[in-house]
Amino acid sequence: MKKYICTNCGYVYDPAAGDPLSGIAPGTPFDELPPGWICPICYAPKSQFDELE
Amino acid sequence: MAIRDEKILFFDGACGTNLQRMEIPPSAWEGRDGCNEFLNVSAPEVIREWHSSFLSAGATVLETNTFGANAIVLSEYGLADRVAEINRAAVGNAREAIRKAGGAAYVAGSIGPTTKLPSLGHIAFQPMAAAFAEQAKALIEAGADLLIVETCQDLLQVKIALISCFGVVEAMKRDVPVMVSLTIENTGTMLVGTDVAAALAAIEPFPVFSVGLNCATGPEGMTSHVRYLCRHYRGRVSCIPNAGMPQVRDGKTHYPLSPEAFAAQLAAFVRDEGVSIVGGCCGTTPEHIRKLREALEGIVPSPRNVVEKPSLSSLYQAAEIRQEIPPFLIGERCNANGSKRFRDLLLADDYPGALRVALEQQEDGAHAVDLCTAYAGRDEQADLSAMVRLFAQSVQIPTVIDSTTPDCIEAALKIHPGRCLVNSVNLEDGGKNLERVCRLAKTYGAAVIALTIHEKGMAMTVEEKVETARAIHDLAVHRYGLRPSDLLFDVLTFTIGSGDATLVDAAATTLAAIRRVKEELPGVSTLLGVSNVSFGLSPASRRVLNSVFLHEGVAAGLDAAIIDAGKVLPMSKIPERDREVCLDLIYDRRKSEAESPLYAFIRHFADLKPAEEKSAADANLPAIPPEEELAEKVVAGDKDGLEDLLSILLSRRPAASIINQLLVPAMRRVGELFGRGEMLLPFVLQSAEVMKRSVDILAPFMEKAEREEGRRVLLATVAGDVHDIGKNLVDIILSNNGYRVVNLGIKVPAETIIEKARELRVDAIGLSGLLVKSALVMRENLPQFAAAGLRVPVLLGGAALTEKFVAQECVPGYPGPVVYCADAFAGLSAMRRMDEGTLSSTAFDAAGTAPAMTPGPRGAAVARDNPVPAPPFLGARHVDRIDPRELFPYVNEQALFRGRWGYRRGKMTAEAYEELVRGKVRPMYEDLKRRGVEESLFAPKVAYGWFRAFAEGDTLVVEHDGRAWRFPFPRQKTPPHLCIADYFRTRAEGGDVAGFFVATIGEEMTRATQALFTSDRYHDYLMLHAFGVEVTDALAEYWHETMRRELGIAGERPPAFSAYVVQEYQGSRYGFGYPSCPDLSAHEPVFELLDPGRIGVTLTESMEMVPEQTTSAIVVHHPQAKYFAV
Ligand SMILES: [Zn+2]
Repeated sequence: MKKYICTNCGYVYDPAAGDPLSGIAPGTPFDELPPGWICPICYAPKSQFDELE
Repeated sequence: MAIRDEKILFFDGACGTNLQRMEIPPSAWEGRDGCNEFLNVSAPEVIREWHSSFLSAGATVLETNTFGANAIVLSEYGLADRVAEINRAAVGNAREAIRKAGGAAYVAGSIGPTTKLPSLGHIAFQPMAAAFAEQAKALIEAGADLLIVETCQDLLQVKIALISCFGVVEAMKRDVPVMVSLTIENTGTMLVGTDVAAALAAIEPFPVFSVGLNCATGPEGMTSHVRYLCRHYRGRVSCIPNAGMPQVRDGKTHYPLSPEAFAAQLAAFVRDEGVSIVGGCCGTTPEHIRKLREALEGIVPSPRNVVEKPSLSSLYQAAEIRQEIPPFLIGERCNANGSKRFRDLLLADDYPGALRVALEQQEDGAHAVDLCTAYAGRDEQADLSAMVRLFAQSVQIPTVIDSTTPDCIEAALKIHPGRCLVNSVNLEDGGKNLERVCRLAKTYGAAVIALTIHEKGMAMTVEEKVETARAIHDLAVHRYGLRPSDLLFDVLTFTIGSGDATLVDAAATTLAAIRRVKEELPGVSTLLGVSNVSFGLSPASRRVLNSVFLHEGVAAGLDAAIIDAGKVLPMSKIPERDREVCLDLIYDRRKSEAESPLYAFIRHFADLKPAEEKSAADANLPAIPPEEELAEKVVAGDKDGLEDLLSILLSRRPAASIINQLLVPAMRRVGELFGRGEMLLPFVLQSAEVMKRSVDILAPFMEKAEREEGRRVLLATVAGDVHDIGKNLVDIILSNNGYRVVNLGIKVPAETIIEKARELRVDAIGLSGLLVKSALVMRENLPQFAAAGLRVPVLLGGAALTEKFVAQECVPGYPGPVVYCADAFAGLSAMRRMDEGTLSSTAFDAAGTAPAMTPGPRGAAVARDNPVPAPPFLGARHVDRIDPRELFPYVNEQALFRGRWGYRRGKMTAEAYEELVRGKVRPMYEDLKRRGVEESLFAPKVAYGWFRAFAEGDTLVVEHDGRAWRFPFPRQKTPPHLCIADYFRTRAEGGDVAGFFVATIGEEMTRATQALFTSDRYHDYLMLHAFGVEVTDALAEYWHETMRRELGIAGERPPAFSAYVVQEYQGSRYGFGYPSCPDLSAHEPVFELLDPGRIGVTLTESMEMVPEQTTSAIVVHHPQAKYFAV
């Protein structure tokens, strides 16, 4: 599954790991994150994430 | 135990400053006052007593009193003929003291730097080498266990001393370890300007026992240099500092560091960095050494994670052979055979002119410069020696000594202080020259280029090239003692442009040989004279072919290239079709029966004219109408030839029409491309520069009324906020889309905005601000605007704003439209809606938008019984000697590239993005780092401290010097209801410790970025400003790590930068003004505690820090402390 990086702070959302800081279960693809999800480190909105190669 | 097995060696303390305190009978000097070395023979009991004082303090190594006991210094006292006697007596005195104490200690023969600086021409190689050899021989003969070449101020002096010492050690067949100890002034370099990396590059090829530092400063001043050595040098690292920086009090020199403080600082280097040889220099007493031993009782040096970087160096700086972005470029133009210009300058004896050719290549981005003075009719050695002397003093990049004559090579190696590369050796004569040159390289610590030429001539096939390389490698490594990393193999290439049927695969053969050499001879590097590949072709096409071939070479493992650095084209500048034609030729891929790859190449490039300014891509474009060309230039961000183009257009239509009908629509298209993610922000700014330049050129051709057309927008960063990058980006975008911008600057109070808005009758107001507090200021400003009768639209932008906050908190306070703008283009779009009459206030539909989540630590309650680490000291300290290069590894590159610079991948393929980063973004980043250092844009300074503290509800109470300061912290309004105070023990729980820091990169960066903005260099402005912001953050990250280490909670260094991002370390730092503690008023107590005025940081009346590139934080050690937002 595709990883995404926060362009504000460099946090990488890895679907395999999910986001325990926001209660996101492992295996959740980026596209299926809830609408209010924000970067767990710097609180940047989802629109500021960029696909990682 | 052998000396090499000792875990930690404890050297003794000062000589001079302690002898001054002892009672020396005046008669002992025999009129040679100040010659301490003479006391070895005239007052041995004094010297033995001095030694004994350090033995009983716990020193395990005594340094002989022979710092100046060489012929150069002793001749100043008429003692030149007593060198051996004095050194012998000195070793005897140390031995006698050890015998009397009945202990076991080592004797280190001290070898000082003399009073001459050979790099500056004070003394030649030979006399200095003779003096060092004489002293070293006397010390070893008298039984010294090791030698220490210390207080080195001149890199050439270090090399001369090492060559002499190892010459003696080898001749006497003795295993005597030799230590090197450099003196790095508080300017960050050795006396003649050498930085630590350059010094290490020149020293590490020698078989020294250790490299380290002594004198000049106390331990703290050595921190970044010690770290560099511990992380990049495989051998032992020594540290023998002064008892602090000397201060003059009542006419007497005084060293401020107490034994306890000295010991604590120095012990930290052992514990945290792995230093394993310690001791004291000026101002250190036996008590300093005693405390040092106590502090290190039972401690073993921290294991080190050494990353070696094989490098060359100039007198000033090092250059890594394995560049992060290969290749290592060696400028080829200082060659009497290859460059007519250089030859003519040499023939005219114009050495300064010839030097300029080197400096130009340095400017063009060469990493090193080749120097060849061999020319029929000239004295090669005289020319080479003169030029090397000039290069050594004036060229910042390393020198490549290009000669086939070993005598000339040796003469040059004796003059150049840095680590040179010798060009070259081969097996043409069966190996005679090879032996001589390899032995020279070994003796002088140089690296060597080896060409694959054997007795029958140049190696042509892959097999021959690899076999020749292997033969040279085996001789150089196994017989002459060089290391694989000292060798750079040039497997040679031949032209594929001649039509010679035997050479059609020459380029592909070379690439294959590079691959095999890298695979089969591990550790060696490869190099190529790239331009040979294209001999016989047209100059313009050669440049393209050379660049493509170089790119292929790097992909095959090529590390270095000898090439005209100014003529390398980045791949991104070479059109796809050009590249394909080059690749067909390089790999001999025939695409049609009728036409060979060479003929196809020549036909394809037939119309390509040599172009200095224009890239090959531009030159290929067919003629297009000037109207279209102007639009394309705007979109492409290309300013070349703009004047000519505009003057043609002015003959066809009026200036105002060029702006309104051509330029503004072109910028609109740029905005659309950006909006669709098809154009990145840096390119938008280049387009805006073209727009701005065009408007400036056209302005004289317009009426005043025409120039003043367009709606007027007032922009300001709100009161209390010094951040202007966001507002300035809006200025750039609006003013280059036909609006007239009145930019009031930063920290603008509401009253000034109201006054100017009325006076200039603006059509809209834009407010900006980065801080959380600025959002509140905007909310407060709006009712004031309303009360003053303003009704024009107000646009709001800033990092802390959200659509919801604007709609719910700001819109109700103002009768006109209040609009949230996420970025500069949202601002532009708002202005366009205003023009169309469709602008309305931001609305927020709570139903349609999910509430933002609140990430952060959750679950478990904050542990109350977390152990409180012992702070290394209490109170504030100031550090102003941080090497900016130490900070670069802590730069958040992803945030810089993708976030601040706007180089997002977006819809690009992974390959295209990688190419963009590799070909453009990263080179720009490397260049900015280099320029930042060279132009001194960074002056990193830190004020920090540790304090006793305890929690009292939501307040942290900090106690120091009998006073108390209160920090009330906000608490989350939603679960888990965190507050920073939760991470500290209460008074009843025994109290706690808190750290604070204020860190700045100084004022210069702000000045430099401001200058770029005012001269309309928008692109460079954004790049440099963003770089400054990220280096400031890097300083905070670096310092936070330093403070964790001081507290002993640093643990292992996180393996990659991404681990710092997610706080994979113990504790946290919370910046004031950021989500965990948005209130800036905490700066008041922080500034009282730390006194950051001493590092040039002050507070504005609204509690913001100046200079702009400054950051502050509270450092919390509790393991559960992580970022959260209130
Ligand atoms: Zn983030």
